[in-house]
Amino acid sequence: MRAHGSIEGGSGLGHDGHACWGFEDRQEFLAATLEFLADGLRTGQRLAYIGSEPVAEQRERLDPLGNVGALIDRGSLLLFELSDLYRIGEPVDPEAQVTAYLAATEAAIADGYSGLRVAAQVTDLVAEPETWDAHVRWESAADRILSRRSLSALCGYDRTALPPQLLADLAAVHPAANGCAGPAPFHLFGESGGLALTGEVDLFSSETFDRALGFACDGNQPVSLDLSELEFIDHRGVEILAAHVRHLAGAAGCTVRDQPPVVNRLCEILDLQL
Amino acid sequence: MTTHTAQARGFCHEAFFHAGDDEFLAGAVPFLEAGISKGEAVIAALPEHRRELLRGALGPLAGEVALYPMEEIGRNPARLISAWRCFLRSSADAPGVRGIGEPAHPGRSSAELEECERHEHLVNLMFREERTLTVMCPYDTSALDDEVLAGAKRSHSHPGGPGRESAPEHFTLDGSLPQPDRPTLSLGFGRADLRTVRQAVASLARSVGLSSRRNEDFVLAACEAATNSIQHGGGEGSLAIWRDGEKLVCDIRDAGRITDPLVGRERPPVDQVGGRGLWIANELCDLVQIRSGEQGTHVRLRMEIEG
Repeated sequence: MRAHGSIEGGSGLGHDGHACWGFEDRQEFLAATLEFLADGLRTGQRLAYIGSEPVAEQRERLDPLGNVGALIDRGSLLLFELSDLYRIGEPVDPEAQVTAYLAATEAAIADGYSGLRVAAQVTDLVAEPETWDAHVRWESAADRILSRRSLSALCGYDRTALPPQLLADLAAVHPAANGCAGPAPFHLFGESGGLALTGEVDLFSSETFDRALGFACDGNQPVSLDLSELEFIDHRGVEILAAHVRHLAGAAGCTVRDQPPVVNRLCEILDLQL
Repeated sequence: MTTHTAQARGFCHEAFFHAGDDEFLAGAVPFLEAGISKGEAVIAALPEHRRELLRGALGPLAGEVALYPMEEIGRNPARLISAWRCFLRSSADAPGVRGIGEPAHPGRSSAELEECERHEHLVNLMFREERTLTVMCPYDTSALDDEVLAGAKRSHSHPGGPGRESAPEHFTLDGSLPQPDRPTLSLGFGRADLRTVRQAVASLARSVGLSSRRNEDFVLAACEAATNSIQHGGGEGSLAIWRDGEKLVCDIRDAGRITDPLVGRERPPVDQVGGRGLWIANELCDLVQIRSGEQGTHVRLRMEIEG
């Protein structure tokens, strides 16, 4: 399974890692970014950094990577201002973004890299509440895409500027997270062409779970949901899951597999079908 | 020994006091035979030893009686009402339903016997409108304490008695549970602490040697009860866990009050909002004790360590 759960640093996320990093100050996110990008350098991925600050400032901040000038010159490190790639204040256009990231990954591979690794500080994309749903949906969709490619991403969000519920939603649709989720973190992410649910779902996280399932299951594709690393789920969580499975049964369908015994026990006790 | 008087119509819930096995058979066999001869659906939920006795005594008629192991279906007596309800549903075509149930059998702990008595009161409340249900509950006077026998008289009609001493609709969850000297672990919890609750229960369950399945069940039951405290009991509660002989015990208390004495006794319909936490706890645990009144709600979960 892809790297998942709570993380303490930016390293060890693998070629298809996708982490949500809620930072209190930019220095903290920079430290995680440097670890994350250094992993990519070692494994031959092309690196990219996206931030709100001007490129010249980005370059300075990434200096600890070493030979930043040379990396940029030979195309091993790409720097972008957020506003060059996204329309700030408007909901993200998922199709355009998917096309752009896939093209960039293909280009990296065509240029001899093992893939693409992107660190992005994207707090400004969720400054407006009306962009939130589209953004979380995009993060969820992006995760399923990069789970099948040699594309990894570290997404930075200023947690002092965003409401806890949005941060929890964001953490939930990334396989890995730091500083975002509440006390019962779970992750719903792309895995082996389907989805995996890991961590814990209880009263605290059940509403987030309901939304995350809505974001991840659009009904167009049959979904296989891997529960092999689910550590806990209470009866509300199982009811929410069963409701989505029922709903998807009328569309493309959803199969649940490798569920822990507690899930079957709750289904039996409450007469629910998965 | 006393003999029963079978009642064809209405709800009849009678205690059958007997001393030992011979008297048990002398009362139980004709009671069941009378039901069989009337074409009623006939059930007996008994501990293993009495099932064997009854099977032998009924001979070929044993096939007409649905025999259930009390040690399983009534291990937690709070599960018995839904078992009766299932049997009634599956016997809807029969002219009547007749059964023997012996939840309060010799060998049970005092906490279990206390819950058996509460269960018998709740049977009166749950089934008082049934038109053709005849239930006889054997009480072995040679092996049960006087206190248990006195309780049986309060919760059943019985020959020579004045009938049930209290109306079933007055039964409440009032009462208190004996306190442990010192729990191994106690903690307060709020909405953000359910994970801590689960970790605390799991680690103590592991340390006393609960199997992983029973550990998971116990953690789930405790979490569901604690979730109830957060949702219905004032947003917070307290938890205490300790070992009592061969059982692991977990108390969850909060400031809320449960008014429905039948809470958790029947599977909630799919469209019902809430009411599932204690049903789940009853299904998962070996014994669940619920006390609720002005002083708040106290839920005690027990799990046998060797399950």
